[in-house]
This record gives sequence, C-alpha cells and structure tokens, in this order.
Amino acid sequence: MGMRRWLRTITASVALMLASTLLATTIQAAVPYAGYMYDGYGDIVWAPVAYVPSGTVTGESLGIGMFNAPEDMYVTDDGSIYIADTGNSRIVVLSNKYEFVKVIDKFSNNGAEDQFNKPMGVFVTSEGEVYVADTGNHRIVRLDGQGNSTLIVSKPESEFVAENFIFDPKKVAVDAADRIYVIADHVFDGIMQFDGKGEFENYYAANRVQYSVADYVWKRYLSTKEQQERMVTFVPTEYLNMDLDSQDFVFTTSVQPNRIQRHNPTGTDVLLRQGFTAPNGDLVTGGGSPSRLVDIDVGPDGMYSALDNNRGRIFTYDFEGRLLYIFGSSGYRVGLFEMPTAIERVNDQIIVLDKIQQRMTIFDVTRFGQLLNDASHYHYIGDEEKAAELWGEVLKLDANLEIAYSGVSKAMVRGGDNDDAVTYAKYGMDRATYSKAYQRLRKDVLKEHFSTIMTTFLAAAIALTAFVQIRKHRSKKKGGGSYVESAD
Amino acid sequence: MWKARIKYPFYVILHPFKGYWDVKYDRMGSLRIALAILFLVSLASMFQYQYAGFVVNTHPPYSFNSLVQLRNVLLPFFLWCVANWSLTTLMDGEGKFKEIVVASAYAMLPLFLLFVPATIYSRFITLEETAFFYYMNGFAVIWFLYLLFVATMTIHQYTVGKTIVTIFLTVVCMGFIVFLGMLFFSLIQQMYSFFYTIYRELQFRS
Repeated sequence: MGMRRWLRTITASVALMLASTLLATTIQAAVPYAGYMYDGYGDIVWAPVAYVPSGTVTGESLGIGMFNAPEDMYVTDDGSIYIADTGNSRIVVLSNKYEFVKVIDKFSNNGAEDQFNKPMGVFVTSEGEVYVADTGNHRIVRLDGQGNSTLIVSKPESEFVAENFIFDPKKVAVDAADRIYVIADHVFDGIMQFDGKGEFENYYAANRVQYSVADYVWKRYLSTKEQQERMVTFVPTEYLNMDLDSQDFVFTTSVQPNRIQRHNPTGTDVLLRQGFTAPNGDLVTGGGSPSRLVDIDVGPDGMYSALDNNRGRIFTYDFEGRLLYIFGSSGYRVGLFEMPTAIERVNDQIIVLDKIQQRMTIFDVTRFGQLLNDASHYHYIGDEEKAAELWGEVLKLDANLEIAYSGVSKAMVRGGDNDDAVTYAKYGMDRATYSKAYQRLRKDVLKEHFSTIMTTFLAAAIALTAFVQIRKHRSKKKGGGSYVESAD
Repeated sequence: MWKARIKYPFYVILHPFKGYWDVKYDRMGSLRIALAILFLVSLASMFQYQYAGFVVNTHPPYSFNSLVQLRNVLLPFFLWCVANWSLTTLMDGEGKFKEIVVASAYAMLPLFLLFVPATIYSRFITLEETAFFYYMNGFAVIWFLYLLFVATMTIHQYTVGKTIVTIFLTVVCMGFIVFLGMLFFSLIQQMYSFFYTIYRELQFRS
C-alpha cells in the first residue's frame, strides 16, 4: 500500500519535471517586447503581440563579411531582397529564403569598371532594373540584370537648382511610368522627380514651412537685425523616406505634424486618417521625443507599417489610417533595435534592418497578427460579414481591441441587429456606427411601443387639463366669493 | 418666506436689471440660496461629465473625480469673487463682498437649469443631432455671462464701459492671485526643506 503510493508519487513528480522542462524549452522563445495599443482615449492598453522575431541575417551568416551601417532595403515582387550595405559600398542580394544570391560591388559603366561610394538607397523595378542612390558619388545609377549601368543621373541642370547645390541622393523610388523619385540631402522643396531619361522634371509634393505664430511675430516684428541674422531661416522639413503603393501613390515619412503622408500624382496628401488620431507613431512618449519614422513599407490591402528609430517600434495601420498593432522595442537582444533604418515585407514576414547591430531581423506573424491582417483584408475588399467573423475571433484573443468591436458592430448594423450593434459600437468607440445603429433602434422602439407612448401622453394631457380646470374653478369660487362680497 | 427666497433666483435670471437691483437695495438675495445654487451647478457639471451620452462624451469613464469637478466650479467662483471685490473696492464699486457672492451665484442658475436637460437629451441622440446639445450648453454659458455682466454693473452701480474694463481686470487679477498662490506655496516648500535640512544636520552632529 505504502509502496504503491510512493511509486505513484515518484511517477507523478518525474512526469511533472519532464513537463516543466518541455515547457521551459517553449518559453525560451519568449518575445523580448510587450505588445500594446492606443485606445480611443489615447491611453496605452496592453495587447497581444502581432509579430515575433524568428531569426536574424548578418553578413557573417551569409559568408560575405559583416555588414557596415546598412541603410536601405528593397524587396521585389518575387521576394528577392536587396540590401544597400552602405559602409561596404555594395548591394547585397538575397533570395526570399534569406539565402545569399550575389553581391553587386562593381559595374560596367560604358565599358569601364565603376564602383559605388556609400550608397544609401536601393530600388528594383518589376523588370529587374536596379536603381542605386550612390550618395558618395552624388548620383543615381541604374543597372540592368547583367550589371551594366544603363543610366546615370547626376546633379540636375535646371533653373530650379542652385549653382552650388550638392546632389546627395539618399532614397530612390521608380513608378510604373519610369519616373524617378529621389529624396536628397538638404533639399527642402520636396521630392526630386526625374523622367525616364534622367532629366529633372520638378519638385514633387513640396512640404509647407511650419512655424508657430509666436516665432513668426518674434522674427518678423520684435527681433533686431543682428538677432535676425543669427537666427535659422524657416525651412520646410525634409522627407525621411518613401515607398510606392500598388497605385504608385507615394507614401512619405517626415517630422511634420502629419508624419505619414500619401501623395497622389499632383503631390497632394490624400492619406485617410479615420483612426482616433492621425497615424503618427507613439501618442504617449513619457516626456521623450516624438516617434521618428525613418522608413515605411506599404503592404497588401493598403496596410502600411512605419519604423520608429527613436524607440525601435513598428506601427502598422490599415488603409483607413486606423492603428492595427505595434511591436518592437529598443535593446540588444534579437527582436530589439538600436538604430533601425529600413523595413520591408517578405510574404507574411516583416524584416527590419539595423545599422548599428549590422543585421537584419526577421519577424513571423502570430495567430493574432494573422487574424488582424485577414480581417483588414476582408474589410478592404468590402466583405464585412467575413471581416466581422474574423474580428470576433480577434476579440477572443484581445477583448480590449476597439477596432475589432467596431468591425463586428458594422456587420451587425448590416444584419439588422441594432441592439447589439449599439453595444459593440460603444465598446469600439465608433460613434458613426453607433449613430447609425442607435437611430434605427430608437425608431424600432418608438414604433413598437407607439400605442403605450401615445396612451400615456394622452392620459397625461387629460390629467393636466383636468387639474388646471379644477384649480381654476376652485380659485374662482374663492375669489368669486370675495368678488361677490365686494360687489355687494 | 423660503418659497419666495427659492423663487427669487428664477425671477432674477429672467429680469436681471430689476432683479439685481432688488438684491442690492431690497435685500432679496440669500447667501444660503446662493451657495445652494453653486453646489447644484457643481452637481450638474459632474452629472454632465459622467452621464452625457456616448456621442458627445469624450471623457474616459475612469478619469471621473467628483472632487476635481467640485474644484473646477468652486475655485474659479471664489477667485472671481475675491478678485472682483479687491478691484471694485479700489474702483469706487458700491458692492459688498456678500452681494458679489450672491449676485454671481444667482447668475450661474442657467448653467444648472440647462446642463441637466441637455445631458439627459444627449443620451438619446445620434451624431447628427448633437448640434442641439452643444447649442443648449452654449446658450447656458452665454446667458450666464450676460447675467454676470448685469450683476457686476448693478451691484457696483457702474456704467457699461466701466463694467467691461472691470471684468477684464478681474480676470487679469484672478491670474495674479493664482500666480501669487503658487509662488507662496513654492516658497513655503523651500523654507520647509531649508529648516528640515538644518534640523537633520543638527541631528546628525549630536
């Protein structure tokens, strides 16, 4: 008897130990950052993590020597990854499985061998032409598949460009019509736009000058000439980075009040901002500086992710500008960043390049992130029923996510379930949907209880009239009596 | 007696010139009624903060603090009264402090009268119908400001121009009082920490 109990105890504890070691191995892959969201009041709400780090790619792991301060990345439609390894003056090409393909460190320029000098930007067209912002050589280079340069864009000769201007291109993008967009250093007039032959066309999407009224009054009217000379001139902010979406509209990031913009072909900002706040990264900075969005990647369904290098975070918004999820943080461990410079998507994965860590980090989507991505996909194509189903799944994982409640309530309004739609829209802080549902609900309630309401109303009216009449009658009697007396 | 006292503020808000005149010369105002109105306005502002309908209510439910709401009504009110009294004493105003308190509090009655129904109404509206809610609140504030203006004018027997100047200066004076108050408290704090340091020093030496 005692023996059996002993045996049972031992087996149980051995099983427990085994189980705990198994658990420990799974816990090892713990995510090094906490997921959070901003709610409708702009407060931080903890949330599940949408993406988890799954690996890194370094120069050593590829067998080509360490990266040196890499600045930019581009992923083609078939998933080939181009890395501008700036400090090593080379372009590194990887396959969509993160395997080494080739290094482009020299090219044939009209027969002569030529090299890059600290290239800070790279872009690849769907035809496989590679555009490199060859910053140190003050030029844009276009290479064909064989490694021959087919176009070189140097400092533009134009009346809009000053004589002593130094052309330091940092980022380059090319649209379907072969127009070349260039973000260059110390250019305050917008994005430089070149045609397919490399001729300068004009400045695109010029930023407006931003200054406060107090600054203006001080500078214009109150300061002395000497003070004015020492003051910095008001200049518009430079763009930090850009990306083209599927319609060739240009997404840009900058340090303006609207840090993310989406420009149509005329250069007007047409980004939808239907979230609780404009998509600007962190809302609560705890006294720190605002998010510095150094890169942006437009994903499927108009969804876009911006990379903040102040706090190493990635903010993803849907096509209407509503915050979906935030992940990443500052630090040294895998999944954290010191000075991230570029973000791209490879299928369902997000990759981020860090120029101090000299490595690329790969992030895998979690079930939570996948559900959010899918739900916004169905919302994007207008299938609210399917979207609501997925939002419902999301709510099982995160009961605080307002965008999910709002998604469910939209479908409920369509389905005619106004009572629940009102509740869900309230949880989702979605006043427009709430109004729509509440208006119908109110009408239904009034219709349903019409007879009761009317009866009560009529009864009250009769009672009131009766009361007034009786009171009048009484006061007449009282007053009338005295009147009669005085008349006598 | 009480019935007439309670009814009187309603007469004042509808007939401010005659009403305030009688507050001053016929002693029709009551300090207790004035303080009651003040308390009711605080209640109304709490009510609106917490119970305004979803479409117009932007306050996080967990941020509600009735003491903060009470302070938001009482502090500006007494600041106004003190600043106004201090100024008008120097500017040949005829009002006594009690009259200023009573007249200013009576002027706040429309806030209570309109905030409460507006809040109830806001619970049954959609986004398109919010205009009426904001209109009601705005009307209450304008009515209140008008009454405050007439109150100042009548209580101190001022002309229109002098009333406007006085009101402007009163607001400036309120700012000064707040500033001096902050200065006072920060100095007290510094002095306290100074003496506390000396005390600690002596304690360690002994």
